[in-house]
Amino acid sequence: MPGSAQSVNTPAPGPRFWASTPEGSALLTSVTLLIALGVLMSYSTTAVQALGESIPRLAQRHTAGVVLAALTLVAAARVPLQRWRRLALPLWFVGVALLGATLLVGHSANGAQRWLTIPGLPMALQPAEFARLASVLAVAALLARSMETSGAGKREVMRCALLAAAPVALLLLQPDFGSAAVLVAVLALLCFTAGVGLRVMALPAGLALAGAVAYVSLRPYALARVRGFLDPWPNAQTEGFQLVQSFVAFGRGGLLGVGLGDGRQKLHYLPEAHTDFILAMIAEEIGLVGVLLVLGCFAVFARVSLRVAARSREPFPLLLVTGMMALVLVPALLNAAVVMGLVPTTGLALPFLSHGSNSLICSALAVGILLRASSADEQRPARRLVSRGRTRPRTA
Amino acid sequence: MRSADVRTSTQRLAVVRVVMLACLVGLAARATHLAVFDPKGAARGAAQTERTLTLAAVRGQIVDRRGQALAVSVDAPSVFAIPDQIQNLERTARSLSPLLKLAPQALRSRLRPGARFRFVERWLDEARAERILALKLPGIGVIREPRRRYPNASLAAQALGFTNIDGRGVRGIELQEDAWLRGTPRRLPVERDGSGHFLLTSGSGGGTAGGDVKLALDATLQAAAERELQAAVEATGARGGLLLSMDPRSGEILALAESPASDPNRFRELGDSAFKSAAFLDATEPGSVMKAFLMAAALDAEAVMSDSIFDCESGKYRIPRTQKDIEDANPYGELDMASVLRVSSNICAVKIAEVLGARAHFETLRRFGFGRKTGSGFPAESAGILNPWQQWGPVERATIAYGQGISVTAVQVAAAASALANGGELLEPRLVLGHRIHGGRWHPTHRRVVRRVIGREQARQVLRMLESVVGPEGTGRRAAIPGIRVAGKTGTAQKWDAEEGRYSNRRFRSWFVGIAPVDAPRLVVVSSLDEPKRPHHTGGGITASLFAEVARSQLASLGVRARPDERAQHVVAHKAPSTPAARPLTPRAAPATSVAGLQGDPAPANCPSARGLLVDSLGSRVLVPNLKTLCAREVIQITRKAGLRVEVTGRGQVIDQKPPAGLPVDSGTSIWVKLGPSPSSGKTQS
Repeated sequence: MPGSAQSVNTPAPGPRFWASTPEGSALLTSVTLLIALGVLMSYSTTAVQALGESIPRLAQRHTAGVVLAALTLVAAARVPLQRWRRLALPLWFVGVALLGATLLVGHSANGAQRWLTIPGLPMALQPAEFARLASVLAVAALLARSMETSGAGKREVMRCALLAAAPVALLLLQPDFGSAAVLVAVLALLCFTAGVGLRVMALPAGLALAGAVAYVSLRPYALARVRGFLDPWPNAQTEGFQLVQSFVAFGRGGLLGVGLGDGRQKLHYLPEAHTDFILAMIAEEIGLVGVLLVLGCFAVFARVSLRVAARSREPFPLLLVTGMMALVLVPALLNAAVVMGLVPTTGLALPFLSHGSNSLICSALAVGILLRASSADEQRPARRLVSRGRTRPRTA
Repeated sequence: MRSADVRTSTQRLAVVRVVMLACLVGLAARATHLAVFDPKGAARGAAQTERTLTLAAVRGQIVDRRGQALAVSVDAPSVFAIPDQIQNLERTARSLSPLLKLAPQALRSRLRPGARFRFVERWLDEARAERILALKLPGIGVIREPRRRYPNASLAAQALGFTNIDGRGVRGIELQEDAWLRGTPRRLPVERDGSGHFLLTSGSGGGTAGGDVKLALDATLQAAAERELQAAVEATGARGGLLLSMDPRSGEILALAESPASDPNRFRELGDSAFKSAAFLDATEPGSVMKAFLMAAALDAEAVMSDSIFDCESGKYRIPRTQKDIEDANPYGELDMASVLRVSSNICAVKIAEVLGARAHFETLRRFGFGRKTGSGFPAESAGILNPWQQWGPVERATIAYGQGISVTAVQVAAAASALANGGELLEPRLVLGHRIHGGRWHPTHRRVVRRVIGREQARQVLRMLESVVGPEGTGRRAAIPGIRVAGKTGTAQKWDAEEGRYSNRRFRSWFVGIAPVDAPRLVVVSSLDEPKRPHHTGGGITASLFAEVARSQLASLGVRARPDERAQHVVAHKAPSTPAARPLTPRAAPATSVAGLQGDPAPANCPSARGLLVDSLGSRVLVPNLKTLCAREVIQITRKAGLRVEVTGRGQVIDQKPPAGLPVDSGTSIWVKLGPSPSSGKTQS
């Protein structure tokens, strides 16, 4: 991207489009690659469930979700970062309210009440995704304020815990252990980044871990998943079934894969092939090459995001960027670890790739914020940011 | 300006970066391990996906000598259960019960867990299968299986045998030719998806379609023979009967009618003993029919000459060295050889056997094929019973002459009579005329001479003597056919009464074996009735009339013309103008379905081209199959194979058809078929 690099170096900035920085280009390229691969795989894996249709309805929905995600991304990229700071708390309330509503009037699938249908909206909402994002925004704002004043300490951790408590509790009630765990992990990472002392963090982290162990051991289905994870092969017909089928996908795929569309595991062998286990299908159809491409894209995504964060001169953009990156990367890592049998099954989507518009749109929102952060507008000296709310890029 | 806090954060971000990238590298390593270095996944993938699907070949057809289908395979729906997928056993059983007409209790046992797959009911009709599918019961499905159909219902049922529900021949030709008809199954390598469905894969998997078998039977003659036989059985009150027509020149079995008749489409209700071919499997005593073969043996051994004279002792004779007296039906004095056969004298037959000697008698009967299988290859064929002559006591030495103490099958009699007819050669009876692979050419079976039995001249002498049996003073006079010279022999065998320990005077088996025309025999017919009631119990009674009826029409269809002068010569020769002419057995049976006007009618003599016409008109004709209770799909398959067109109205199964089954029509004729709800399955939605 030498061209975009030039545009940054020119004293008189060119069109201040958000992809005009090398970071923006890299982010956009990796995310676009992942999303494109997701569309391809959505078609490949859902066609099995819609034999006779030219384009499977589920793949159509996924593509529609991609369009919505693109619009979200563009819109989010135009919002100045400081505006998120003001919106953080209200959005947190909205997120918690949606989670509450989901428990009351939502509908369930696969034994968990995770979906909210709003009349007039063509898709069902999965408030967990949005609540996660809103919670990260809120905590980032909170920690940023403390960093600007006294520095993050025990009190901030307490406040973070309070902000996290409500959504985590509501998520566990659905139950959505995976989302709750992701949220806790991302918030812990934010606290760490905000400079909270490790000794201060030890106690809450220990408590969270103990809570997780207690939660799992009290639930038979969660225990079964752990059993399937610990010893998948002897339990290949029961608890270990999904995991073994995922291993089969990797084994069948080998280095180069069996070819796009030619996978067998999606034929009612691998449960959730088009959602949580899409990475296994990539492994089967495109092979190790495909998996490494996905991991590589996420690596570029993380690396570039962290560079943008590290370049921030203000606490809030720094924390916001870190949070948004983690919001995408932590579930991605967890999902990949689940699919490869390194972590018990949690029911997390793989951002950008898994079928499902909610995850796609929330991830796109995060990417939009990252792009904005990487753009020339936000990379100005701090004093320029005094005029908050200026969204229009200046014309050359 | 960066604050201290931001600087701390930047340092910590470096830690985050390292951790994140380490995680990604770890995942990449794990992915590499799973995809490249761990063979378990790929091995399990192959094990769970790859299957070999064994597809039974479509069973070949059995056709008659003109190519008319006698047995065809069609698809029939069968209902199966995958017990693990059944959600509510009770409700499933209750929903299926009325449709399958099975008690819920019986259904429950077929639906209960414990098997991956179980048939619930096989070979349903289409309407019921559709309704069961419409119920959308989890774990219940319908697959199509080949089902054997016999479009002519009971026609030639005993000769055909049947195929069981798993496609294996159980009796008759279906068993004899099973390997040929069945073909070899295809073993397709297929892949299976996670819910057990098979995915189409390329590759033929080898295997061959079942071949077709052509029988020597002529469906038209067979149908007529069966009708006449049934009429005779009813007229005599017999328990059953059979009629076997053979071409004496080739050994081909042209018709094999057996009563009672059973419909092989219903083998599951009737049980397989209903399809036992008595002609091949039942060995019974032949009675006086054996005198024909005794005479042949005596002439061949030159024990007697055709002009030898024997004294019939006025009807009463004690067998030498025994206390056993034998009697003739009427007292006779001295008789020449032809007359011994004509009046069927037991006493003279015994005397001839004495002159011949047991050894020569036995050996000639063996050469005629008695006491051993004919070589027809028919499954479970009986060899009959003919003890070695060394075991014959004084009584057997005598009684075997008139057919007591020896058991024979109708096929053996036909083959032996054919040897008399064709100049002394015993041929293997042939039910199968040819084979062809699916879509191939017919490869004929070949005429096989088992052995020469007697000299040509002796055979002719016996034949001429037997002609007098059918003459006006003979016991078989009712077998005469106007305009055609017929030779024959009657037999009236007493059945053994196990309770009384002696031969019964009330239960008989009547026989008639006839050969025509005498100067160049084309047809040998064995007719036999089991326990016909008095006064029809003799072989010269309705059994002989049955021969005349059947032989006349069969000779006509073989193109043998009746010559009115033949009969006249015959009558003059025997100086008995008041002979009762053979009359039709049952007036209604005669022309209704066969080639009307040609049967037994001397008219063809006046029509020079009658012979050619007859053959042609029969050659392109087919019998209308019995389509009742079939579904539209089967009707179309069967009529297509029979070379007929079909018009179908309505839905369900066939409740009416025009023209009726069994009528010979030109091929290409349109059959009108009306479908309606089957009486058993209730209403079908329209």
